[in-house]
Amino acid sequence: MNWELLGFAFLTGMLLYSAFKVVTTTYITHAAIYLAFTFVALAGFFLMLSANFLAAVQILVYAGAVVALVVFAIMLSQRQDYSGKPIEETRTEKIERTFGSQYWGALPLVIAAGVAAIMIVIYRQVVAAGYWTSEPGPALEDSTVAIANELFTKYLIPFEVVSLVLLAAMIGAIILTKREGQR
Amino acid sequence: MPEWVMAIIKILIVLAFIGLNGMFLIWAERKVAGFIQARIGPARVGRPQGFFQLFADAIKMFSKEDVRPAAADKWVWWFAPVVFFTPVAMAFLVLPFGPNVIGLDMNIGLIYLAAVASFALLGVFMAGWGSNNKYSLLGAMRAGAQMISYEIPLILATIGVIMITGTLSTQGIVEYQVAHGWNIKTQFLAFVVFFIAMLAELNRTPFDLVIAESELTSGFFTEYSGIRWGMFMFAEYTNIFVMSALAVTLFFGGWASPFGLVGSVLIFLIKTYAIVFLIIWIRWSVPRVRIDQLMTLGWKFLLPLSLFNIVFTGLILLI
Repeated sequence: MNWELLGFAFLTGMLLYSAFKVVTTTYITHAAIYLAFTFVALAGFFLMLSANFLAAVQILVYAGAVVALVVFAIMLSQRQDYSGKPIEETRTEKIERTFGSQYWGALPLVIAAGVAAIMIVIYRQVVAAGYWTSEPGPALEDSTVAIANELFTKYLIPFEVVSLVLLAAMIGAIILTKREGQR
Repeated sequence: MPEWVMAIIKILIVLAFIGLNGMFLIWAERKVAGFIQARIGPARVGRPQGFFQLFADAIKMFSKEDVRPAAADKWVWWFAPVVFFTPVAMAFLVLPFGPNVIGLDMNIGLIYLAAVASFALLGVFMAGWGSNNKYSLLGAMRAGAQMISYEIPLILATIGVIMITGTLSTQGIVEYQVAHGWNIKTQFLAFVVFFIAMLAELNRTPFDLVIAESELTSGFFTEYSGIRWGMFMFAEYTNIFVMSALAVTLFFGGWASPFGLVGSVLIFLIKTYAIVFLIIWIRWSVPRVRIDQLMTLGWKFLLPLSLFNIVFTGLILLI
């Protein structure tokens, strides 16, 4: 048995299912939890590509910090429905609601499948033309050192600019949430 | 022996260790609490000192009924203990118990630990929300605020050590200390920040607002019973061990000892349990802080101190 293929299939299934549930679930808290599992599955892909550092950062930043912030936003915004009892619905109603709606049911699914098919065709063309190799490059012995060297020499200025943008966003958020005349 | 058999054996050893360590720490906590409060503590079940109380507790926990609240969000409630427990068990992969006694010596060991530790918050949130109980939800909200605030100084405090040793591998950090002496000599400030942030991450007194028995009736796991409650309890106590072991690895020389392999593992365990004892000691000696004091301490003192430590270490290394 091909363990790598099995792992890939598992991760892909987890990723697609949880990503689908993020947008179709009725509860925003469930969406946050599914989002966390989406990020974990993505970290699994990084791990399969032997990008250890990226996988760990993916979990640390996205599954840890970003999901925590999403959860915080949910808990701080005063919605009544997060502690209420879930709406009772039968299995058929649920399937109907998930796939039947023309706005966020079958139609987006068909569109997504179409886009995926087109992307696969394009990727095959690109690989066939020889721009990308379908074989992964040799795994780096120490990807952390390699990333750090690139980040702090070649890409130092873009790196610092990105941090400046984040700082500006943070200050902007504080100013926007503070009302006029309030300390 | 094939590789996967070895892997399964290692996993079983870690799980057995988690079980024994959890049971032992619950007993030890009750004995230390008794000692500090000038009473005896559990003394009825077995000798010496009611030692078999821990087995009695474990059997009771396994055999209790697993009650699910009728209004709970079924799957979220069911899955929360698993999400909370798994990262704690995963942390054992990179803890260096001895020169070769380590699950996997990764070159990103510390980042791996930070990553798996950050995932525990999701378990807390799932438990708090899934229980559909106001105490649980309040506990989860407090946990969110507290764990985000204290994770930052916790990770920043380790950066000083990483700068000195020049490696992220836990084994590499210990090997550096074997050659150059304990890191606590040069990174005392980092240790102080790390220790305080560690107490908050573990939800231990004086930062136990998340659990707060007297006001929240143990917070996010109020609605759990039997073995599910036990999983939270084991995860909490294993987390204490993991964090203490990390502190020993980073600041107190890890397994460094002149007594060979067995001696190294013993030295490591003794140091770790000394820090665990310190944590228990603090729990029974210090009152709980208020939530505004908690936030002030985290953001206005620990964060600047850890940043100062990084800059200072950098300057020293440059000169």
